[in-house]
Amino acid sequence: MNDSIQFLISGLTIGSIYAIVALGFVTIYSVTKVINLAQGEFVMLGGMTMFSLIKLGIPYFIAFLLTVVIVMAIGWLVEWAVIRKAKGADPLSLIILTIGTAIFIRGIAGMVWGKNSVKVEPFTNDVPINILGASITPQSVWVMVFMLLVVLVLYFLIEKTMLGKAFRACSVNPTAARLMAISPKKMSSLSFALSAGLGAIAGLVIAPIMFPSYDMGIMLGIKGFSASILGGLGSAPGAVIGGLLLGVIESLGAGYISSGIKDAISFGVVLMILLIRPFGLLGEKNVGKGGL
Amino acid sequence: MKKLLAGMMVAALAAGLIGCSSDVDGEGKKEVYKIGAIYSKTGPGSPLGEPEWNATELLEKQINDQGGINGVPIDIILADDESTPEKATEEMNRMINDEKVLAVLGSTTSGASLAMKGIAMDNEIPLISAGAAVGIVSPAEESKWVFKTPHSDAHAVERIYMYLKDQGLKDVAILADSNAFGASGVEQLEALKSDYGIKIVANESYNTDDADMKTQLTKIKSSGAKAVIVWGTNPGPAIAAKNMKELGMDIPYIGSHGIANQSFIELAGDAAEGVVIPTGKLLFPTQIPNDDPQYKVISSFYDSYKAEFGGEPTNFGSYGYDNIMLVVEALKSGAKDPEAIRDYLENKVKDYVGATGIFTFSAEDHNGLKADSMVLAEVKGGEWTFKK
Repeated sequence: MNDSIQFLISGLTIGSIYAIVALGFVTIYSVTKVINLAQGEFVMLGGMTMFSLIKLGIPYFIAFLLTVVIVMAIGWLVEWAVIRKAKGADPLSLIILTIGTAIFIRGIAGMVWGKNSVKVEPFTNDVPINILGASITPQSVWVMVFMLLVVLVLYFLIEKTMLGKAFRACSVNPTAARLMAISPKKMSSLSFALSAGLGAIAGLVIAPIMFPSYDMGIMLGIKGFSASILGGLGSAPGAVIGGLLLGVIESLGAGYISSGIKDAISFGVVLMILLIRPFGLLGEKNVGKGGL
Repeated sequence: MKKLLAGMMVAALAAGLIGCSSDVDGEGKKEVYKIGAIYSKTGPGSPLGEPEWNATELLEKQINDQGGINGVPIDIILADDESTPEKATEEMNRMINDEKVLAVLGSTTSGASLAMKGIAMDNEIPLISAGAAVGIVSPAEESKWVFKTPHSDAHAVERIYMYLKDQGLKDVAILADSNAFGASGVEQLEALKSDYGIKIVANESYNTDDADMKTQLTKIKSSGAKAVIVWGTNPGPAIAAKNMKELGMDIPYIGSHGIANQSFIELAGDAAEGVVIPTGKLLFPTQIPNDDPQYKVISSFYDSYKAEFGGEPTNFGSYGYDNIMLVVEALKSGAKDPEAIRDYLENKVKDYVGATGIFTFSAEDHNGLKADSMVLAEVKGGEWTFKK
């Protein structure tokens, strides 16, 4: 009994990491219909920049904010240098461009920070909390808190503000949006900066748990992307549910079947769900009309 | 007639030129022993390859300063394989065909060494590798020309089992990386368990990038294991140590030689305390007792390396040291061609005291080490310390 609670809690810990990464994918997709496969790299940049800033002696809280700003600037730069230059290209070409960007960022990061993993201190103390005999670290709780905050802020931004309306307008019909004096270009820049910022926040909260290194973006990108597909691309709550589900299945698979094939189990389940609901758990049925 | 004359003059000139150049060659070319060395100075393998590279440079200088081998200087041609098997293959061919070396040392990683092995076998040139995989020198009949100096996984496993037996710990759990390093460790752990009366009560694995291993550790906790053996390289084992602390598990944590570095301790912090691993002695050259048979070799190598490069030679430096010194031993004995060097290594190297361990090669064993040349290290106060 104790074991199964621990499996579940561990699953939620891992799942919330996937979910917070998945939220970044969702943001760009819902505005530009582009799947940014460099999203995992933004997460890595968040963790590694934080490490460097703290090493420079900058206070934790200021380093946190500075990291978000720096990574957002990088996200904006990526959009300006890569995506915008390829204007008029279809989303598929843009997706391939983001793969190139990811490899580029990873290569530079490997040169800047070296190949070794680094350590970032947790937000608060690291004395584990006991829940029904299972243990969870305070940092994992922080991951969940930030995940919920991000979903709330995104919901408010997209549904309740003029900016959100403009985002949605660009997503539905860029030409009509332009007629309404909304600049899809500006919205595209903004969405990249926003999702880079989300990636940075994800990297910041994950960093104390998993010893970031220059290549952590690959694994996080794949898992986060799978989570967002599972939840239904374009849906923020879907990304959260998708991420948590992926983590819990992985953990239960490792716990009750075999840790050697835990990824095979979790991705097998994802495939099955997608065969039944090709548009994901919370996705809209018209997903095919967009990017892919 | 004129044409013929001109032709003859050209021919004569050409002959003269050739004559001249061969003369110059003959005078300028003193006897020198050419040896190739291919290590990973750049790329992901560079933390390993750099000490090997430095050790090789250091020894070349030392030997030539002392007048070479029986009066003949050595010329070591160093090449960087950039941590890839492709580049290693290219350099290996260059060493043999263009540089015409007597023997090749390297490379740093197992993949590159295995790629070079085939070329060494085809060209009948002795190769001494610094790679870890057992496959580099086994099966013995297919490794006639290939030797290696680092400990193999089997040595590390034996050393761990010797320790567990001493401590009276029989029921153990394994938590291993799912990559090639982890898989090879698990294979040896399974193969040797019955020799030491060990029972493996749980066998779990994780992926190199996993952020959390509490699920696997919870299973291990429930399995009643008295110790857990974690087989991987950073950062996985550091996460395992941290997670064990979070779960309140206090059974002994035995690591592999894959975490014999300071960076494991930096990552795991407090959770690293008490972790025990098998390692080569160069992890703590200053802690080796004076009566150790390798004491002299290790301390003189360590001191001169430190003086020359400032950094620590690490265990990898000792592989670089032993690789070159074994060839030097062969040359000293009068072996002057590849075949004689190979034969010397296989038949005459008995109880040779190196920096990594004490080597005794034979036709069946081209690694030449015993498990007891590894020592145990324990983390105490944030540092690796010599155990026992």
